[in-house]
Amino acid sequence: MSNIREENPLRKLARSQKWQSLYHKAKEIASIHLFRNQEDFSKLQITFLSLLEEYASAYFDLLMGEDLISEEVIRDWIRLQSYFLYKSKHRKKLKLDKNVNNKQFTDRIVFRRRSKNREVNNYGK
Amino acid sequence: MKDKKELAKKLTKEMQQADQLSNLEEMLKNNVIEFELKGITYRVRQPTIKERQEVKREKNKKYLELLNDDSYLFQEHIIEKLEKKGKSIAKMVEAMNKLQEQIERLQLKLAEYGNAKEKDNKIITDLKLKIFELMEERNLISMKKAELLSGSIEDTLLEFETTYFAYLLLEKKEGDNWVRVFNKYDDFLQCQDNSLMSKCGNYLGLLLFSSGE
Repeated sequence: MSNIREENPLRKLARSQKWQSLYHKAKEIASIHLFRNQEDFSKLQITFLSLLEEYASAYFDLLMGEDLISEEVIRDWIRLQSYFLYKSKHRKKLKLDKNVNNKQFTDRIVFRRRSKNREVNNYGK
Repeated sequence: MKDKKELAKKLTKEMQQADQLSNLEEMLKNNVIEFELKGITYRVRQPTIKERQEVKREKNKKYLELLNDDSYLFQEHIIEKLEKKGKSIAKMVEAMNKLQEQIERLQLKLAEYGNAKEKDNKIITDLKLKIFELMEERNLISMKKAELLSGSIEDTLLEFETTYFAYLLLEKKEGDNWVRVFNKYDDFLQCQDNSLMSKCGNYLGLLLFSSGE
């Protein structure tokens, strides 16, 4: 069994300044490629790409001044994973709250529309 | 003296880690992994469409062969037999799910410590340790479950697929050309070179199956 208490070397590479800056440049400049092959990626490369994105998003949040993230959290894989889990649950909750609000808003509109229709009908008479 | 020893230990560990990272970077560069063993250069690579089709065809043949062999059972039937012997796979899955829920609960608690420093907050270390313990417990159950279900038709087919890919994709360098190491699948199965088999398995895993995470 691999030691889950230690950070996977793939994560270490993905959060390194070298790979993060390469990743950003490759996104901006089409002629910069991360790998020699440009298709038919290996499983390892696919995982690495998703880790690069994960750390890019973590660094972005840090830059934006998010409360729950720090360099220390980014360097600690279990704390980072916990941060993303918290963020996703929180976002889901926000979405749910938003849906409830939207529903109330829609109900109100439906109610108002009905009353408007009645008025139109009244005018029609 | 003790300090120097510790420093040397630390340096060796750091050098090993750097070595590991540079090896990993080398493997990432391409969808082909080259390695040397006993003076021979080998490689494993991604399969072509034709090779994937060949594996699929051979896997189908193997499936029919296993269907006609009474000594192989589907996972479903093994699970039923295990239930009768007092081993419940459903309970194992339930236990893993419960552990996962506990892990996530603790992770959410851990996340709330946000940018607090671990050295000033013992609770962060305690939460991490508890999460790791639960993860290890969950992984252990998962391994036990896999062990109990090994030998099933599904498992045997997966093993066949992996070894067939290994037979097709392991090549050695001869002059400027890459040639297959084994001419037949049976030759691959007969191979006694454990270090070659183990390297081939690990690298092929990174290319095709596992994620390295």
